[in-house]
Amino acid sequence: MPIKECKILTALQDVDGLADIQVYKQHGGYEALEKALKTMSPDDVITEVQESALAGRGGAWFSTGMKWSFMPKEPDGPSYLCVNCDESEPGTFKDRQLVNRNPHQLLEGVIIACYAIRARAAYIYIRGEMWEELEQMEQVIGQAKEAGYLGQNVLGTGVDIDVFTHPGAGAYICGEETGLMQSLEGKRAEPRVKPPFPAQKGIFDRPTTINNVQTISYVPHIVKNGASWFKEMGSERYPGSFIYCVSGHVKNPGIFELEIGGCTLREIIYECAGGIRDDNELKAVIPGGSSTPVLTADQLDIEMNPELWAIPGRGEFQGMFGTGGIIVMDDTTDMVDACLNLMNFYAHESCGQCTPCREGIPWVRDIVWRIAHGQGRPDDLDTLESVCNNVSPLLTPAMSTICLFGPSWSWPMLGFIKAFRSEFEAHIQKGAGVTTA
Amino acid sequence: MPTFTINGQEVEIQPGRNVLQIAADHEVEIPHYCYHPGLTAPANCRMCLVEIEMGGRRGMMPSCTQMPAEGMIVDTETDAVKANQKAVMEFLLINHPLDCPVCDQAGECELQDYSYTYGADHSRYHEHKHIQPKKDVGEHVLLYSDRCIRCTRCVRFCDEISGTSELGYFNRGVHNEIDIFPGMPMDNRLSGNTVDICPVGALLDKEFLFKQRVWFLQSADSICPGCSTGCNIRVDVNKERIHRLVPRANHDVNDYWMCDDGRHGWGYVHDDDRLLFPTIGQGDDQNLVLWTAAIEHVREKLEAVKAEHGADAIAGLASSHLTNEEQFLFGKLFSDGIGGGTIALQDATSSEGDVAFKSGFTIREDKSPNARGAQEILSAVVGTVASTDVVWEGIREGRIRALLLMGGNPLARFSDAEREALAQLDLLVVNDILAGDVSRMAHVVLPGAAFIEKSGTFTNYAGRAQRLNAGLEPPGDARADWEILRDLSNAMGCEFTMDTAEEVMGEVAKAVHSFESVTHENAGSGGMQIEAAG
Repeated sequence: MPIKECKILTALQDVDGLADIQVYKQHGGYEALEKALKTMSPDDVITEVQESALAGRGGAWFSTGMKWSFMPKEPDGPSYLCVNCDESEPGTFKDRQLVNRNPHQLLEGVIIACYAIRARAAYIYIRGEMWEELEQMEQVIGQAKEAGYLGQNVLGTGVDIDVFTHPGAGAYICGEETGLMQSLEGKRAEPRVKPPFPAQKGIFDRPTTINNVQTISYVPHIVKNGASWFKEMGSERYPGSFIYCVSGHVKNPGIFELEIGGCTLREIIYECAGGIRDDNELKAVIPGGSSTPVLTADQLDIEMNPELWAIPGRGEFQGMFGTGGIIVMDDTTDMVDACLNLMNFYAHESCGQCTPCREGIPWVRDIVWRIAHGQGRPDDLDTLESVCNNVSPLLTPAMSTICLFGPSWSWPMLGFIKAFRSEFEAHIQKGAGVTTA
Repeated sequence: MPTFTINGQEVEIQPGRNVLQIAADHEVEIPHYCYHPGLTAPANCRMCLVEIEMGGRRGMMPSCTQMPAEGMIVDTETDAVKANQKAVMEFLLINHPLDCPVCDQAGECELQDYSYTYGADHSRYHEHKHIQPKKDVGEHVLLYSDRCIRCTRCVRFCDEISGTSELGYFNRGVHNEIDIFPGMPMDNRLSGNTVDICPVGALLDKEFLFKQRVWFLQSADSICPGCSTGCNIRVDVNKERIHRLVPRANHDVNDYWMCDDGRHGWGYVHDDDRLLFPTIGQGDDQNLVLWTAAIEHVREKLEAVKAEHGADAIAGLASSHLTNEEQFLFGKLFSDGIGGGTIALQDATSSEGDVAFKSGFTIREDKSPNARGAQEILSAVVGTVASTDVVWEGIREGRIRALLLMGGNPLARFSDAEREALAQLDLLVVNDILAGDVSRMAHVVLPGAAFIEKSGTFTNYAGRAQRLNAGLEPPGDARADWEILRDLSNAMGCEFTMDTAEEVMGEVAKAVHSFESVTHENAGSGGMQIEAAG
């Protein structure tokens, strides 16, 4: 069965000059905005999005409509929308493409979302490294303002909406939703303790909804075509499309927008991404960003439908679906080295606010470093598992840290040991002769 | 009242109190580091996680930020809770230097205590420790970052209480550390509190550094005599010396804090210039005498002045550094013993005015602990408290021939004009703690006791009577001032039989309306409000 392409967000990605509002409008741009603001009440929009079952594409897959419904209907002050464009999850590069190729699509979604949740302003928090996209976004906002889609009295409806960009200053933790809010307020990006949740106390202690770029980009399409159109695609609980980013040892890396559930992991790797480089054997796949536990070559026939995965769908497949960032490794890969590379990343990026993460991840990294450098100890794997379990056991909701950064390294670490224990043991045994400790 | 359950026990929800606090009210201890009742709670140490079940969902939540709700089930002793406590202890200790033998905090360290109760007996850590530097962060405070557990209590203190925000949180992950900004030391006048609230040995008081092992210290609850706020303090002593003052919590007075001026202001207690023995005679002719001789000498001289010039020729300069009990006896000495005379109260107001901090904590311009009590009691006992100008004028004009000068204020200074006036007196009796030019001018010196050497009460600016307890003996032959004044009053014809300051307070209550219900017992450890005057 050939893979069904399902281009919603990337349909126009090869159109030149799409960052120009006129070009965007020639392709139907801002029709959804006109429809929403002129013919729908804010609650109508929320209901439409809720009925579409749109789920957060940042990796958590939480119902977007439900998130919006938590916002106050009659706010006693400003509410805010925040767009998370701090895409930093290793292996994930879809948001950048969306902002780069079709910025008006995002902005249109942002304005409609602001209208729906009665937000006075939106902040698009753009990763600092995406400087071109930030500058382009500024221009796009200017064009929309001139066209009357933004600012005071949008389209004559009496609604005021402003959109601001904010460059990140370069930390992975700024992508955690409350860390992002702290950063936006000019503070250290230290995730906040929840409750209170952002819908109660978010940016500047005001009710805030925070959504991922990809999620918001769907909004104009859902408003324009209706929830039932969206629900015709994808799976029942998770309708629509999803953008996969395939990287690593494949012949044709890139991004692929596919219908949810329409294919298996194997098909994405071998059909969309052209298979393994040099026709090597596939050894391991990280299915959805570096925080998702690694899978082995015999697990590739799982359907790419989050419902079937333990997380988020509570399905039987013991894996985490994640962000669509598929990292493929062939049989030339040393799994201990690969693991060390990831743990170095997490040790570097832990904010250090709470004890288990601050102290745990450098410890884990140091142990993996020793194993990789022939200085492993017989009890190292037990210690690694125990330390990780003290932070968050694999694919369980239990965690001792403030935010999900803890599970973001404990799960992949446990995943590496679970999938490739014998390689770790081999390194330890090989090093046993030269260990000095 | 809505209720919830802690370890199977049904307890009431109290508005504004979190699970950790309510548990403590019911004698369920939940260990914690970052939480401090006087500061906001970041829930970053993760030590206070407990199992909470609500609406069919069960999970580990920080008890310091969790507010209880009707029907909530809290369990603090499950396997999961204990496993987390053990894990957090392990995490906190892997990079800790474990230098307890040379650490000031040893013996009162929450890392030690919790390690013993909740931790493991061995380490699984084989890696190199991430070691952080030792830093000088301010006039009074050192920061040994290697011991720091990054609970951020100190940072929050400077943000929320002093409002000076000198401390920040730098770098990321295991490299993050507390520090000052370059060239900007922690120089707020509440800085010493950061040492108190540091749960480990990271923040250290320079004055206390390496001075004492804390288990040798004995303590007396007292009141800071540095200003009229009347911060509740604990005085830690060993071998007849004070080693440090620390605040005691009192929400009606000082919350959990005290200022550095008060904290480090006790040096005079052990000054080489302390007056140790009663003396008779001026300047180089001062002769050490027994108390009976000194008192008898004062009596003779006072009687002589009274016989020659009348009781109005005798004046007293009261001191608001003395206790309520002492003010009473001083008043009685004049009203009942001398049968007249003039009393004025010396002023201890500084020129800096009140210094208030973000939290409302205030260092007051009145640098004496008991002006309010002195005013209330003296005016009740002798009728009118004159202005000091009246006394100085009376001396200069020769109407006042004898003066009883009460001291106790280590900062008291007299002007040249005042010293010239004192030199004209037929009789100058100085009751003080420190030798100085005025004590050398005195015909009789009566050595009194510093605040930590006697019991009694001070009344703070807001009319709160608070107890001080003796933690040390007065040096040499020096005595509690109330004992001196009692004996002097009796020599002048009174018949006081009290043996304790508490008994003196019984007499104060009878004589002074606003102190009607004040007893040492009623004042307890946190003090009590006196009645509004009038």
